[in-house]
Amino acid sequence: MKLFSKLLLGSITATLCSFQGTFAQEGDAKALDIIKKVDYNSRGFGKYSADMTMFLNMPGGKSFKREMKVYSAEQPSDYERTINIFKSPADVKGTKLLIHAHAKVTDDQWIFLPALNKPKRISNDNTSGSFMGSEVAFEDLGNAKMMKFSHKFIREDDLRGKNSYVIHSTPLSKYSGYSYVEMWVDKALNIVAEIRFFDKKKELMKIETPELKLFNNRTYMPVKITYKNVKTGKATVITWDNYDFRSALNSNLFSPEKFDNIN
Amino acid sequence: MKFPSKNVLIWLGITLYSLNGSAQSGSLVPDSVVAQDESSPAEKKIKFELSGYIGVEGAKFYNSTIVKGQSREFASTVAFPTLKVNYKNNHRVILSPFARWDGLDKERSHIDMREAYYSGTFKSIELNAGIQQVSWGNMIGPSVVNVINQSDEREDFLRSERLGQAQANLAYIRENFSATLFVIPFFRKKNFPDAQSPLFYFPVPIAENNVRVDHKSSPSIAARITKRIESLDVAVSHFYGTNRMPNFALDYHTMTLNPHYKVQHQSNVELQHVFKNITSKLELANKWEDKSSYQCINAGLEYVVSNIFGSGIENTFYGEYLYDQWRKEKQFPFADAYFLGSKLNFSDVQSSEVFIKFLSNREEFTPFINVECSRRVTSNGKIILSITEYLGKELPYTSSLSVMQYNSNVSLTLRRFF
Repeated sequence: MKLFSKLLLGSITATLCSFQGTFAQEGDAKALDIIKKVDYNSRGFGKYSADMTMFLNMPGGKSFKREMKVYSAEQPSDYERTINIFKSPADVKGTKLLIHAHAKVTDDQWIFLPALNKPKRISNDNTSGSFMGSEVAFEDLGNAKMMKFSHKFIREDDLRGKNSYVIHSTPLSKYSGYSYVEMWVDKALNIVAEIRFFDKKKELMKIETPELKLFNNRTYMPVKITYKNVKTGKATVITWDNYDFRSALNSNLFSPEKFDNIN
Repeated sequence: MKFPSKNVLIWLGITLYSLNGSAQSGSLVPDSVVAQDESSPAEKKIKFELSGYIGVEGAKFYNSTIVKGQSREFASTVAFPTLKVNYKNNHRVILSPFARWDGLDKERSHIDMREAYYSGTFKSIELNAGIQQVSWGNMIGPSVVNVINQSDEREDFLRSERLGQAQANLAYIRENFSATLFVIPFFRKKNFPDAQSPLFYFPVPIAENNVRVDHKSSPSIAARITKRIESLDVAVSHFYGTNRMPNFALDYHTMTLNPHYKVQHQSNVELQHVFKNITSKLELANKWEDKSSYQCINAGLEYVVSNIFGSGIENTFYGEYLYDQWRKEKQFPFADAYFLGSKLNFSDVQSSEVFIKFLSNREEFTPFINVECSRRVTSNGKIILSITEYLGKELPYTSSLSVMQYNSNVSLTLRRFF
């Protein structure tokens, strides 16, 4: 029984002595003020559902389509909870991803795989990996992502004829796939106009270009985002259709005990 | 080698024909985004969703066998559709039959209703009634706490497929907490493959017409409570009823094994904790049968390395240890065993994966290795190549793995999802 005692002790120690990684919004005052306004403009939607379509475009011209249904609900004292339900390709149909986004701690994630027939919690620092083979990393998703960077105001700039702020943001987590990002913020609207991502070698890796639309005279939501990988020539284009802010989704469905019930 | 049956070839033809290349297109990206309607119509109240797959599977067992006349090939077709009808996310009906036709192994052909049940949500109460799949525990390899559904012995033991189980369960679910009561009225005994099947791992035949089941006319009952405390998941459960695993008694006259399913109490504790890229898992169980007590433990770790060298490639390592005193005393294989695994996900558009699994008894080194490579082909197909090999020294006839050591095989699976 000595082996059992060691294993038992090891597992309990690993389990009980661990703690969650914590983040706090960092940066200079001007950058934080801009980020605060951008954050305000991307929130306030309450809850919504939408049809999300992702096109993975290869340099040779081939394109692969991925379809999802997205449900999201803002939390009173935290960031949103989101459920992504995969509709295609057919072999991942019925797979569901639940994300509890947090400002101050790492996000919680669960995946429901039809083959397992139960939710599985996934390690929450695994954020630099690719989302469905696309140019989008898990860490690029959700509104809480900006809280996981340290921000520094660099300059004002002209981006495609619009006055913009340029902010240099460094990830707080060492597990991030980026060394830093540069963010262009539309000065007039206080919304993100472009993000340039630099890899661990500090080389430009990809460029995100969002198209946002004002809904309910309150929140700017994405209707199309293009991610262009400048190193590989691959691109991912995501579109959102059929936004529905009246969807009567019960908030308790956004829990790991329940989210597999949603179709 | 026998030629695959006619029905296998027909299904193979249908499956291959169905694997069309509809995903490939040069200009699928819309030029502009249509303006969004802020007051889009509300979602449909009733939703139907059909999913699942049909497929063909072939396997070649390349060792000589110690069981005279044992088949050395599989060639089968599989259908596993699932229909979900969902009314306002509160009431659901799920139908999921599984069917396998094997052209070379008659006993392996079977149909099983894996799920056919109603699920209703009434605020914090959830009621599920009908044939269901209920899975407890967090292990990737064998688990000691997963006791509700009977295992399907006519499927590969490394896949741990489970038969559907009729039951009613009532759950009280709150944020971070659930309490569920299970009533399981009917018992399902194991259905073993034919003694001529390579999946049959017993040294002598099983007398399936001489099965004893205790407690058969009474329902089994179980209860489970789960609690989530930040990154820690805790579950406590108890099961009372007919043990899903039989005791075997050797009949010296007929030289067959007589299964006897006895009544068992089993208490379980499950812990799972996620910290950075590490998931720690612990499962403890105590079983009581025939006034004897048996202790069981499962402990495991998962470690994820993501975006390796900035390539997007991800690898998950698994290490698990299992000790099941009941199985050990009843001389079942893998009662004191460890499981190691490495799952390489290429994060490409075809979702290519290589999953290497390693399973061995602890005291006696009996290394079984399985390498499974899978890749999406076109928009709705998947191809899976699997190789299972026993790499250890030759085991004596008295070993519980004496038959399994000769079951090294290579298999190819083609699935068409819908």
